Amino acid sequence: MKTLVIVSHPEMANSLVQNFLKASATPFQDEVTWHDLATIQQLDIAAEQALLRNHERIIFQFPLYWYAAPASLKTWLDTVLTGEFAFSGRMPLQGKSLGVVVSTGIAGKHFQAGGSEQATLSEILRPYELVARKLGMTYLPPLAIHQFSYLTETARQLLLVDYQRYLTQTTFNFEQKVAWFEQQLRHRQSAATDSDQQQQLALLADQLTEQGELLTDLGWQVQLIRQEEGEG
Amino acid sequence: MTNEEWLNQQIQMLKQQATTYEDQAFYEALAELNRALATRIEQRQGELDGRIWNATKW
Repeated sequence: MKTLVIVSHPEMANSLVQNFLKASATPFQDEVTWHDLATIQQLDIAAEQALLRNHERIIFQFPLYWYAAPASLKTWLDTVLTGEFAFSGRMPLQGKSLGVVVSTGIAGKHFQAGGSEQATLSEILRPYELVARKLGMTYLPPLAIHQFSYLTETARQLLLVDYQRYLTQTTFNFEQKVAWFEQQLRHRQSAATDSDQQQQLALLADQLTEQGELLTDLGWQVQLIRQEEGEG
Repeated sequence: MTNEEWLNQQIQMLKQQATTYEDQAFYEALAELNRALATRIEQRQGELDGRIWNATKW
């Protein structure tokens, strides 16, 4: 799966979170295209549309400014998604997925009913969900990053991997999560130069697979008994 | 030693050997996955045992 990350940030160089995300995506260069709108002087519509066609997952990545994306993303949407491209009968983006990576300077707890923002992020990001729907794309649950500079070191490390998975994991269920980690262990195994470490990584990947299969197997057994007991 | 403990031991060893920030983050997240996996296995195992040893069916 190829992923296009469309980054909209007016001050990319000064953004701690965007630079962190960029570095996090670097190991996946073969699968992930980093597309920084700030570096584009004049949008080449055909080239932008070709980028969309050539990727299966499209990510809009931006800081939340006044409950919306910065102007460059709106300009990009209005310029690139022409009626002819999007609806000329071929629906070129149909079946692809659209994700949103949004950073905010406000704690996550404020984005809920009764919170100081009085709205959830799902509500605020609804226009992108509607764009996805209109284009026949699958809308992914957004990845929200709240108050990045206050995150603990461990939280940052977990965010790094969550972000990598958001860009590259095909579907978001627990089984696929285990499979993603196993795949990463295999990559590390083939890249390792030390034979002891290679062995250790292989063993770990095997064990992880085994535990994942055990979980699936237990799930089937439980499901079978539930059905026998009339619980579907 | 349980499977979870053994896996965690291996993960921590690899984390200590990690030379890049990205690698360290990977093993941190893997350790968390390992805990979640073990919890889910225990819960399903528990449900299975509970349903198999259902006294109302004796």
